[in-house]
Amino acid sequence: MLFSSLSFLFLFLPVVLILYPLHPSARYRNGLLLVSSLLFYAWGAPKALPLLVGTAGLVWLCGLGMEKGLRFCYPLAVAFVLGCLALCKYLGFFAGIFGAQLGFRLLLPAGISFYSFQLLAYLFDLRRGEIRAERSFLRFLLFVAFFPQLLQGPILRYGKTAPMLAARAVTWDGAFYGMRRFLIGLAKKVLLADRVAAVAASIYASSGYVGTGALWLAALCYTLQIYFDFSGYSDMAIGLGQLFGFSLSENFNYPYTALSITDFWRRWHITLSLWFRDYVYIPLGGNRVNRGRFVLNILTVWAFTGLWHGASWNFVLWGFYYGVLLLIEKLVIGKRIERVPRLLRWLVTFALVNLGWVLFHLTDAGQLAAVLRGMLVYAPTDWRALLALDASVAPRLLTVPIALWLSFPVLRKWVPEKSGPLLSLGYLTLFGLCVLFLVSASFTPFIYFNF
Amino acid sequence: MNRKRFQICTAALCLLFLLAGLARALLSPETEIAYENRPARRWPAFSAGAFLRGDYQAAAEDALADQLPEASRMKKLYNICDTSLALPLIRFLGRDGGYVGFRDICFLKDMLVVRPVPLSEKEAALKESARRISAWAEASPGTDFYVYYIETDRDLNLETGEKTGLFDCLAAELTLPAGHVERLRIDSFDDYHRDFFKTDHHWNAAGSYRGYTELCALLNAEPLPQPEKYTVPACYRGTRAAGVEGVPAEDFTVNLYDCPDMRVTIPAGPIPDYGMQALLVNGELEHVSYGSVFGVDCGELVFDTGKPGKNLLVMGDSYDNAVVKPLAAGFEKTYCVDLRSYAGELGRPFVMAEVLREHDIDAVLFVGGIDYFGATLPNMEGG
Repeated sequence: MLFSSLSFLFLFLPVVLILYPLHPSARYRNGLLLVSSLLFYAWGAPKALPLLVGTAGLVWLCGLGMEKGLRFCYPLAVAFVLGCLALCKYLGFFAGIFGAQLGFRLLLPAGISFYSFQLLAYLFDLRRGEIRAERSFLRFLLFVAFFPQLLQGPILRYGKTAPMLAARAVTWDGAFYGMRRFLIGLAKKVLLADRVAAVAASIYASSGYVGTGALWLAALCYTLQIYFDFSGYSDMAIGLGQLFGFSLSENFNYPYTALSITDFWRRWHITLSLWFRDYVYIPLGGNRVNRGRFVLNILTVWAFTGLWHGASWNFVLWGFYYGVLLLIEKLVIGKRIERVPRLLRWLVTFALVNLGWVLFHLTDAGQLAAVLRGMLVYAPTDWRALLALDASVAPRLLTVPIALWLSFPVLRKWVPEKSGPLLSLGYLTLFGLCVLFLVSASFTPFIYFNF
Repeated sequence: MNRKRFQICTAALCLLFLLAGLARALLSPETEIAYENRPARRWPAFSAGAFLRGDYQAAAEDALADQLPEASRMKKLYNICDTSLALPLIRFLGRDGGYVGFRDICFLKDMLVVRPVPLSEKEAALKESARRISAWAEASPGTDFYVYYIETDRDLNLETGEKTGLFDCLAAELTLPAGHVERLRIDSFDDYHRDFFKTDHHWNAAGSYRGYTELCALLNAEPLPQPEKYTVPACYRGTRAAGVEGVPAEDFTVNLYDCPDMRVTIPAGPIPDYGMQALLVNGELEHVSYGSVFGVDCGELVFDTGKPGKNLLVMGDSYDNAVVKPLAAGFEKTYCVDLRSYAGELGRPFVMAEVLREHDIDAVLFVGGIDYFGATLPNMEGG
């Protein structure tokens, strides 16, 4: 179930919001959240539910075993989590590398990359002695399956979440903030991401007429799409968490204002970056090693980062792309970057990020090569022919400058923290617009049948 | 305190709206979406199998989209805004008379059309249709089989006149006797403009009359005298205009054939007439649509003139609605089968041999365009 689906907005959410405050006890509320989280997951991926519950159960048992000094528990749990992830997500990819064809299709459980990393973080922290094992399986399952963050994060750490699982208070201000945050996230997804996505898709689907200008426009649209889609989801997750008294970690901090690639990765998918930093980069030695090892560490981390995003060569390439860019920044440019004018730094960073998203987006090697060539070697665009393919992109094109503008923290200055009647009206309008766009997306007149 | 009150009001309004959607979907569902010319999707019945396949969830999502309060108004408002923003660009791009795409349709001069279908996309389906028809004909030597293919905007590029060869492919695979395969030939934009509605995919009065006379010639039937025409000005927006606000309504013309009295039966029982042309002429038809004027699609429609003669089986889709009644005037009984709803309405699969035997059919006519020969017919089951 997606947050922007009508089933979530008009069925799941109102029912949970009404049931949640009916009883104040943590046991009732955790129970309700757990049941609703499992239903939420089953709604979208019913066949994957046993794997989620089974994996969480095994990790929970192994966690208890680790505290009792059973040495096999840690490698068993880590191997199981990684094994499930590898089997479900990467088996086909690695089989392909060795020229083998799988004679079957494996189920790719929704959110497996997120909950696997959450479970691994739990095991790593437990082994380091930073946390105590959770005694209650139901509470542990809620930590893993908590529906606001289950499918796309933010990736939670048990140490930070455990106190909220035990006891939390829902204040009116917190809940209203949660509602606002959810609405903002929904608007990002429905009013911005989905609109600019249509432009990118339209351009990439009409290769015959597109030249350099159109390809950069498509890259920009995808850049905006992925930001508003993912950060919108994170906003909705954080907002929903607040509605139930949970304070989830921030995942984005205006990444397109970054003045360097290092800066960009401090602002983009923050919980994943921190995960790789804490559990891969630093254990490998981080930057306190010789230069050769440092290069290896960076490339290893970024190859894994790329692979985490998807089982395809373009994701690996995307990871290496950032690895190399970061190495250039750290080893070649260094502090000299600060002498470059800010506007130029922003432009170069933004262009590089745009190029990166092209690598990320296009999984077909032939199309990727053609698009990159088109972006870097000038070719004219037949705009008339391109627009005549589907003029319905015209209204969506108008969203591009608005989305670009809103990817900067411009509204922070204008929108007051404390809401008055005008702001409440604004949020209601935003909500109405989101529903209007969501409902209209289902416009399906009969062209051929039933007259 | 004021701030808190506003917060509560905002939250309560949002929650109420969310609940209203759910309540409407479950308790008082709409049955029809007039704006989209289709039945409203209702909340699905639960089954574990459907849930595991994800079908239940998809159906629930569809039901909510149709049942939310004011859903149609929201869609209309969205379409008005979307089309208003795009129309200036469409007019600018179309000033030289080329195709300008808008969602699933194209603007071409003053018409709403679709782009031609490449033969490669439909070749297998057309060959399968031809194989089925030929096999039926071979298995029924006492019955004459005819094919009448209606060329539309999907059969040629209306800018260049280049044909896609869909009919040629079908005709080449059919093993019917010479003279049993014919088509409504469309070779240019002018042909299409003359014979089809501007805002709909169906043939207009001129096209359907041309089709009727060609069908009579194909079936060796005596045509009715040339009908008078009756036009209701600027009243019709066909299905291609659905969701494209700002496209003007067009005239709707009907051919007033002087048909003999005949008994008309649908699966539910006898009906006074097929279509509501009389209401249209009397100015009493509230909503003018192809289906309301010529008759809605149904699994099996029977015309009985009561005069001794041959029996005809017409296999087709909505295109034949405009011609089947005058065509039936030349036969004793005419059975019209629409495979899309035959099994559902009659409660049994369509089996050609049984239908031919049961109704003592002398001639079978397959009539339709690429959507029929390239989609419905090859995908039917039970034949």
